[in-house]
Amino acid sequence: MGDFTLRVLAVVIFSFLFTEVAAQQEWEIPWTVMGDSADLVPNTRVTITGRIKMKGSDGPVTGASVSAETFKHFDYSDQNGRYVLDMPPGRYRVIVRHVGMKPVYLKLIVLSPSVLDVEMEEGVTDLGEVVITSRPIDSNVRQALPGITTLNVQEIKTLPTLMGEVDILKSLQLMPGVSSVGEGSSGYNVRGGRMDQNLVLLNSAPLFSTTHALGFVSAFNQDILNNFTLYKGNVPANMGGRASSVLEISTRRGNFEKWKYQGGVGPITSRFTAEGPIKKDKTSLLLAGRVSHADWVLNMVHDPDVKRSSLFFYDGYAGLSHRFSKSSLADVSFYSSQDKFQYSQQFGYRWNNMLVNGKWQALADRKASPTLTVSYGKFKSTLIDPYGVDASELTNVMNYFQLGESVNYNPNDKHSIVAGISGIGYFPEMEKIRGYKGNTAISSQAVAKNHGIELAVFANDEFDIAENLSLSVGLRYSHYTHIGADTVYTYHADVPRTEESIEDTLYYSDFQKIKSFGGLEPRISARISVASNQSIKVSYNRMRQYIHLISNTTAPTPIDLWQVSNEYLPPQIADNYSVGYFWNLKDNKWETSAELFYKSMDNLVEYKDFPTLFLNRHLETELLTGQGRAYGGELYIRKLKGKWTGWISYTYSQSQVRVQSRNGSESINNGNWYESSYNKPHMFNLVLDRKLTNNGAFSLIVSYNTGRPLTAIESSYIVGGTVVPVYSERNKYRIPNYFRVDLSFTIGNVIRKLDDSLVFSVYNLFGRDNAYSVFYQRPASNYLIPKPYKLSVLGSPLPSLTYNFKF
Amino acid sequence: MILSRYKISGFALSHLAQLLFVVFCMGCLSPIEIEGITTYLGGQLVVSGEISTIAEQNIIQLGLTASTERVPFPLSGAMVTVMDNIGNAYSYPEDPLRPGFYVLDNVTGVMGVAYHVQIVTSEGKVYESTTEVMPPPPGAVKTNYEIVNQEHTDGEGTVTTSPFVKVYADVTLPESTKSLNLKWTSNEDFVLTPTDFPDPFAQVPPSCYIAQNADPQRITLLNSDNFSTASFDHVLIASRLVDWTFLERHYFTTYQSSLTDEAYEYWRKVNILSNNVGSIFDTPPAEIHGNIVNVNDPTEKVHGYFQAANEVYDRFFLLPADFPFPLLFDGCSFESFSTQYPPRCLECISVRNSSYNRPGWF
Repeated sequence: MGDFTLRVLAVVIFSFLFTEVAAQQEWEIPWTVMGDSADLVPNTRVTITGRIKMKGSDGPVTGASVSAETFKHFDYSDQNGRYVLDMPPGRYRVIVRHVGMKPVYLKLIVLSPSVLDVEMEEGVTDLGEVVITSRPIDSNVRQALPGITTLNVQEIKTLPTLMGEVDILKSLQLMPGVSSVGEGSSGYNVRGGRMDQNLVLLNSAPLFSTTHALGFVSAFNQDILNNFTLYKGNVPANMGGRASSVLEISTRRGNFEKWKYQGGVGPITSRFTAEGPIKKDKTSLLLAGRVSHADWVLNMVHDPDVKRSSLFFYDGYAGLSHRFSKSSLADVSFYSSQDKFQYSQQFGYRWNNMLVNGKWQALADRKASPTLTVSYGKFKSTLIDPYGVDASELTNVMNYFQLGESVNYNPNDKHSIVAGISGIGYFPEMEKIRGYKGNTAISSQAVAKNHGIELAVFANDEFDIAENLSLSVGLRYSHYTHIGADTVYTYHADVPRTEESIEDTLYYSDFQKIKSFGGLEPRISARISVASNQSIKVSYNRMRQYIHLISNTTAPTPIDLWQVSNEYLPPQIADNYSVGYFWNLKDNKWETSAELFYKSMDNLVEYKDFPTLFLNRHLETELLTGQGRAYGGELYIRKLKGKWTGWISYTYSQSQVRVQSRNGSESINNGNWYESSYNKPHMFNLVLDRKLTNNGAFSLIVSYNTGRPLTAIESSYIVGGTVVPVYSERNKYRIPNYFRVDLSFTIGNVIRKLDDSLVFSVYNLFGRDNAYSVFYQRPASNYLIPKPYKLSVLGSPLPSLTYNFKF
Repeated sequence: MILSRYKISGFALSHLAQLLFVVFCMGCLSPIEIEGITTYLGGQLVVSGEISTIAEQNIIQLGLTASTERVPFPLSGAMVTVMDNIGNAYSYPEDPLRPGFYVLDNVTGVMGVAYHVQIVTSEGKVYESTTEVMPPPPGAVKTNYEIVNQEHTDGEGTVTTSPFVKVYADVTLPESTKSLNLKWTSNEDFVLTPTDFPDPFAQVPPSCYIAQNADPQRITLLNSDNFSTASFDHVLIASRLVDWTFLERHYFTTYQSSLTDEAYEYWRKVNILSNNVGSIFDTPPAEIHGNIVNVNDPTEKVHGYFQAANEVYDRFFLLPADFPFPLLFDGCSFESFSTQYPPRCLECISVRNSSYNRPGWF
């Protein structure tokens, strides 16, 4: 730790000492009468319903807590902003809270069933009892589903970040049960599941790539985001298609009343968002863009190849919302991102994401609301080899269409039902290689990819059986069909599938059925209240996955292939079990949980040794299927209220894979269980957040985890002068353990009359040279085998300064 | 650049890690001991060699796998015989000056003939290869070179500028052959004249001749199916740092080899493994199965490959005068006031891959 770090700490401590905290609650308001005294029936209960919406936009506020008389009567708003309070007639003090918004205080005299809509506006929450959560503060105890992590972008904006980029995926990795292969790698792993087993939904439509810059930067602009919820334990039946988890990300609607602007400038990106009414109170528009300016980082490096390299990315978002009536609202959104990365003259990547999404919601009455969604997405990746006689570019494109209709039905305050149907079609284009920039030496080739359609029908009810017992029972039936046009090869039985063992070739026409899979996916969880602030939850769910990431590297790369199920690639099936104990303390000031989980997985995709995965007309000859299992325990302690908030999470887990074959020649590690590449038994995270005046904050993150598994060199030999290493069994060893401390300091209201902030962040404060991976470097003499080195890609403190503004 | 059957590039992926290293790291590469690793003496047989259409290429090298950080061991005292399918048997006697090297002179392989090797070790173990059928001719090769100053990053992350000799091949494929598996290797041969110290008998120490792969970790492969033209130029075959070895005549011999499908696949796998650096973008390493088995114990692990290679070559040499700058390296000439000489000047045979055998064409 050098002078620099000490100076940082001094600034933080100095600022801290001179911080004032203000906390005022406003109860000096008149009483409001709800209902008519003529309808008052003594000794009965009265239902108060309504919607909680954003002031100015009419957009629903999801997850706001509505609490009467300090949680004696309580509900939280659903995805349409609706809530229900069931209470005896009387006088109540009601508080409506949501993070990043001003709390609303109401004093109600409740006489008879009534409707009460509440408008909330963005603003600073009171610091005296600030609730740092985007969901009801005791929902972890009250709701039936275990293993849910919900965060709001407001909650993570002040956390320390790499190069000043707020990153929801990195923030989730601070939660128990969520990990990744290593810092800077794209994707994440949930409870021992694979990266491709996580469904990422942006406004209910799947997104295939979630990162920029090879995984270092999130693909999501913080200014357009609202909530994001990770279902890692039990996924409601209305969501499916992946075997491990669902991350649901929702964006904001544009303001319906007036134009507003916000943005920011950071070390590697700048962003700007404009939102406002096209027709006041009817139609709103939100436009956002983010563009990188990261080349200066590459230019600072002395290496000539890096100097000749370039890195560029952008993402753009447009959201149009139109209110047909008070009960009918439509949203159309367009998201696009592109990455271009060129490493000197040696290789380059390009990848694009595009997503068009339409959503129509009708609030037919206070009990039911149908939602129709239509989406089209496209993910394109290109590998460029710009040099030499074989200069070429290889392109893969995945097109997909999704259509869904669901109905939320709340017959009373005891039941919350969602039912519907959904379908998604995957139509990848032919995989193509061609000469790069007019190079005619290389032969152009194209290989057809498989098409498939996935349909599902689902119903889920969350209901209370008794005062202390509630259930969430869901059933999903999914059905997948591999369709033509396609050419399918059949192979001799009882011998390994190879090009030489092809027995017959079958041709299928457009949309002709080739192979079908399907089955039930039960989703069941129960909450048993032990006390008003304690509950036990158990859950079981089954999930099926019909699309797979073909990626034969430890960490995914931008050019990995998405491959739908076919005759030789059955759906991945996961059974998830979990049990947890949830306990809130001191009037929900503290939230704690302990969960155990077990997951078994079938039909995991594995690979034969040295597979050829690109431009392969017989991809099935390179693939194997295996089994997986993961188990572990998670501890979570979070402080929700007060000047200091934050959490501690600890996870112990094991994630293992087994690949056996009938003839033994295609087994991995002799058919024994071996550790998955991202298996880190111990993971610990500490997050501290101290709110300061004027939107200021001080935040600290401490992370520790076991090093990931490694296949290491054990000996070597020489053939033709080339030293060839002999590796150990798969994932037999481990890289060193990982430890990192980050710090950030946010100053609010930098410029008067502007709602702005300056975020100073230091990633890896102590400059610990954590092992990103073990890197084998050949000694000066080519006749010695490579020696292991510890490679630390972020091995020094990385400070950053980001300015955010809003007007 | 590496040319592979479908030209996808483990190369690019492995270089991702190197990029991360140079961008973010700047001096954070440090040696480590991997916990729990068992450093053991390998001891598994390694066979590497061929029968070629060029007589001087008929070399079979035998060795034993080495433990971590140890040079692989040569295996001496074996009997190596190559047999064909028309009843011939060719014995590869061991080169007395190069332990582990078994050489066959004056015989060339013939296209379409099937060959396999039999090895009997001094312990009496018998190993045999699968059969390799000599493939069709590889076309023609013409080499050229350029001398460039090139910045490069060493293992410690230090950037230096040094001169390199880059060897390129201009390739012409035979028009009659549809599919060819091609591999290029560039060997270097140079002479090392030790210091001739004054002595009363005026004895001149013999010179040593060093023969080795010029860029051993570069494996250039190409399958002609991927190309639409019958000729292409400027294929990079070797990149060689300019050092003291260029103080005297320095030969580069580029072999263009036509291989069987099996041999090509073997080298593709070797290429992947030798380019792996252990990063998260590496292809998971695995054991490479060659084509040698212990006749009496098929379960014994044997590494390497015996191949039949139809080859052509092109050769050129460089003299110090060919360089546009003076070669300021320590030579071995005697100087009256000097007492410090590099070890190679005192005993040139100690240099790896050296011998007193002067190639006939040198």
